[in-house]
Amino acid sequence: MNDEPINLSKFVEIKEDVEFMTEKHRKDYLNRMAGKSVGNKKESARKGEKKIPRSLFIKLMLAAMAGAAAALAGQKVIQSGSRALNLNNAIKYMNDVKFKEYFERLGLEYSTEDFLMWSKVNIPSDNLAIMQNLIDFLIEDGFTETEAWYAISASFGNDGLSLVANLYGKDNIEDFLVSNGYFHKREDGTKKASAVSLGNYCEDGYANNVYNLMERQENEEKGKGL
Amino acid sequence: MVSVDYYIIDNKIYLVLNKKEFNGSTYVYLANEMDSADMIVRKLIDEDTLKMLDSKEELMNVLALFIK
Repeated sequence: MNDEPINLSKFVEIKEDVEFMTEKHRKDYLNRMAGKSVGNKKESARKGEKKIPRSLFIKLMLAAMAGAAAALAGQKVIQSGSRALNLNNAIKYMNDVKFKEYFERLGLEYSTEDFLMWSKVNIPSDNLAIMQNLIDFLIEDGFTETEAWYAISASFGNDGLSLVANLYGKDNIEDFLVSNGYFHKREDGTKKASAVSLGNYCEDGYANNVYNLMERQENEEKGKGL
Repeated sequence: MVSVDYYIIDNKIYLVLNKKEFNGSTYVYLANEMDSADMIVRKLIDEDTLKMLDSKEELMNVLALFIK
């Protein structure tokens, strides 16, 4: 990449409290990653260079790092794992101290490591008041309202779509995703948004947020003369 | 926008995310631009030739370097 190096390692960590792959699944996954499923030992590959949005690069980098971490740890659900890792680490990166204050305001004991587990256990999808508090907190830190809802929803995996649907109405959220290009095509050619569509939307929005956070941090450091 | 190197492998565009040196070899970390879950690692032989990794241990070593 012909640009300044991007250090994203702070956004990725190996979590151990996840379901693990079967040995066969892990072996297949690793073989594919290493190229053993290709057959030929050497691959003639045409090289080129292209320009892409920085947010796409960050998205792919984060997903790859999460995938690598998952492969090392043997995590079972790679995609959901990457979203959880991304959100968890984004929140940690955004401001640990502020989140502690937020939890204390709610009268809750704060634990960075257990945040994601806490949110899954303690934020039922029908308790939108608590969700709204979390959303407000993310908005305070620079997320737009839509981005914040989608970011939080992403941590709920397949429940994300129904969670957001509770707030906006199912038809609206599906329309929103479809109109923004996040959909699957049914066999009859009609377009259908799903939790996967939502996840893809979240990942794109998340990459943009990471980029914004990095820019803000860089500007703050420049302002301090670092 | 950023400029990124890519390789066309199996008719798919894989963007170069990073390169790392390990045991005297250069490894490239590639991601399918259309599928963020499709990430592969290859040893760089020359600019137009990539090689699959020889063992699971080799892959584990270079994956650990990638997320370090």
